[in-house]
Amino acid sequence: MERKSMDAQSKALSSLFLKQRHALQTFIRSMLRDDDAAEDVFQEVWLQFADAQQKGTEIQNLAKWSRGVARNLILKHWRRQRTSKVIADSEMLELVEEAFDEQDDREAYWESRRKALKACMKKLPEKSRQILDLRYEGDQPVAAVAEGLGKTTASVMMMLSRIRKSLSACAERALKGALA
Amino acid sequence: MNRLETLLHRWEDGSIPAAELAELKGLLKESGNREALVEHLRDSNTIHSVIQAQASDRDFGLASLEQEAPIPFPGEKVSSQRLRRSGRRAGRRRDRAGGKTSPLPWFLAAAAVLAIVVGVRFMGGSSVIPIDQGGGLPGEPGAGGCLHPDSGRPEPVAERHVGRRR
Repeated sequence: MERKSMDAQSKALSSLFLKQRHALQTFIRSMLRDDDAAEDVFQEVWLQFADAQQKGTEIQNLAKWSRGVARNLILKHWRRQRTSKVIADSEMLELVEEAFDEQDDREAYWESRRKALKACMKKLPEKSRQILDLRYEGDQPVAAVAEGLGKTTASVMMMLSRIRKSLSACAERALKGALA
Repeated sequence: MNRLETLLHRWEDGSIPAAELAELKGLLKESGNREALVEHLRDSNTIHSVIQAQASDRDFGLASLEQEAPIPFPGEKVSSQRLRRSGRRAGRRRDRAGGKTSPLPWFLAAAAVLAIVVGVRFMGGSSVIPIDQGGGLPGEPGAGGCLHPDSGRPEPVAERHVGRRR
């Protein structure tokens, strides 16, 4: 009976882990800017989570626990990559972690927004889509995108900002429409 | 674009100078700005994952097309890179299209040769088939021998010749 209850608890926690994976992936990616390294860290968090479950470790707040594990792995990654460009420091990491902590109870909103944004991306004009492709497909820096387009970095940054704003507005409209 | 947005874009781009990073950290002391940070990062992640997923779908589609693509006209040269990309199947198709002869797997070739040898040895073909018209002892005319091709008479077994199967 007790074993059944533990299995059910374990399943519920795994399901919760998967539900909050987008937030965790965002947190990790924002600190590493390297898809492969971010994927490695995410998988390591998952392994540590599975290990904790096996050992019967009590996890009160899974999202916070996962970010804590991820933070340690990110710091470890930074130490290994001393020569590469630093995009953040531990103070920034703490601020980002705090920001995510504050949004934990709004996961349902963020998930709906994610879906709405995906739908809005399909409606983007071709030109806007091309700029996003150039920026995000190969994770190219804005300067490289600007060079490829024969424009200034500032103008491409402005274009990206406008596209993001229009996407955000579209997602908000869709969310309001869904609520109405 | 407000200042926070500008700094977030620069930070995300990896092109933020140390002074601006310090400014960003200062702005993030306010909870409203921290929410904007989460929104920015989560939207970035969604955009990134949608674009990456579509790029990998497209690459997969292209890879499939590449598998089918290199069917050249007879005599057309196919670059080795193109062949490498599309694997050995393309090479075989190229053979059918008029290029090189398709290499038969060695074991099939060996089995075919063996079958021919065994067939020749046991089934006849070029070997002598005794017509058994004689009835004499071995070595005597007609003793299980065969007919002489010119005279039409039985000849000794010892003098068998290569004849046609009857």
